[in-house]
Amino acid sequence: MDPKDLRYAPSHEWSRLEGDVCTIGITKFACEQLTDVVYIELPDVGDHVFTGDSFGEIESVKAVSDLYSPVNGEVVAINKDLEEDPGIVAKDPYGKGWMVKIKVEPGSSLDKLMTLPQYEKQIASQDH
Amino acid sequence: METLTCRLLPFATADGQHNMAADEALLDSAVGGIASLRFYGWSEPTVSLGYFQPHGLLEKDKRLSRLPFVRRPSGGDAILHHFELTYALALPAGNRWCGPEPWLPRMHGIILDALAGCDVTAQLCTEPSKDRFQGLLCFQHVIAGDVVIGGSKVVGSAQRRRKGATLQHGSILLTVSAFAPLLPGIRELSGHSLAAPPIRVAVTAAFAANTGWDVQPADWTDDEKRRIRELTLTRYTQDAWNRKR
Repeated sequence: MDPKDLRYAPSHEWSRLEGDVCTIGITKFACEQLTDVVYIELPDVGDHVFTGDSFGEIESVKAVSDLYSPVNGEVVAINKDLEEDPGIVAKDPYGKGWMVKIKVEPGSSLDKLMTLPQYEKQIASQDH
Repeated sequence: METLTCRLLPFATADGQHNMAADEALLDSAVGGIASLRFYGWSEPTVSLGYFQPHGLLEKDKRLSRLPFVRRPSGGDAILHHFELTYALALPAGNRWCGPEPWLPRMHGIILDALAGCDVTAQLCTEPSKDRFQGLLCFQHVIAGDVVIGGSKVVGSAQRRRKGATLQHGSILLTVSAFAPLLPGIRELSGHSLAAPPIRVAVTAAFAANTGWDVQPADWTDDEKRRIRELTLTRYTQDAWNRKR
């Protein structure tokens, strides 16, 4: 996916809404901050997730971080390839490294999330 | 420039469930903007498992499987808490709480300075790890940024991050334990028999000097005490948590 077409949460998840299905992953910046990803735990298909709540967890070297959902909805797919090879996330964060697909509630939008320029401004202030 | 304040909570000894609940309560406080540092002990020899570690790994170890265990909220590998000093540092989100260096090596550098003040010479490992570790104990596995003496790890740490806040806790191995006889501590490696109280004082002083923060002695808030009780009962005493993997 083209990063320009995505929306971004302050906690470094990206989202793309196509119809009523939102695909979520984490950004290249987040991958660089995490360094070596060793485990990812994702929800089960059928689980319900809520805006701002954790939908999964990711472990890099020695650090476990929560993954936060930018939308309310039902998990309709998870990327099972990440269980076998969590390194895919860092190799291709906007493509093969997607994490979950959420069927969102009617009327949902990603308008409250950041555009790419807004997100780039945020990470410029965090990068060190 | 604004001087940041970090609470220094009182040293306490408790069981593993309470200790992990207390550390998670500190993370919650950090999410709310409060920074904390504490040192603590364990009321009996206890194994803390890394968040993603399968507890079956522990059951294969004849010595360690006899001990109580608790699953940490943080990553990394298992720690045997016996003849060691544990620290926890909880920091809010935001650039002002982090500098150019990530907190894992930064805190290890602080501990290195503190040990030097106690006449113990240690180093930070600079060699990147070659293999993915599949064993049980954190101290069996040295990675870049760990504190070592003669190649043996004497300090290891792990983190949990939540809403931008960070909990980092770690272990300073003072003396070898009969439950893990192949892991020498600072005493065996340096010839210095250090007690926990002077190390706590030295690390606190080195931390204040490194950060420039106002490190203020403080007590747990009533909300934190309630949160610790809640987390102890609902999470850290539960098989659903401790044996989840």
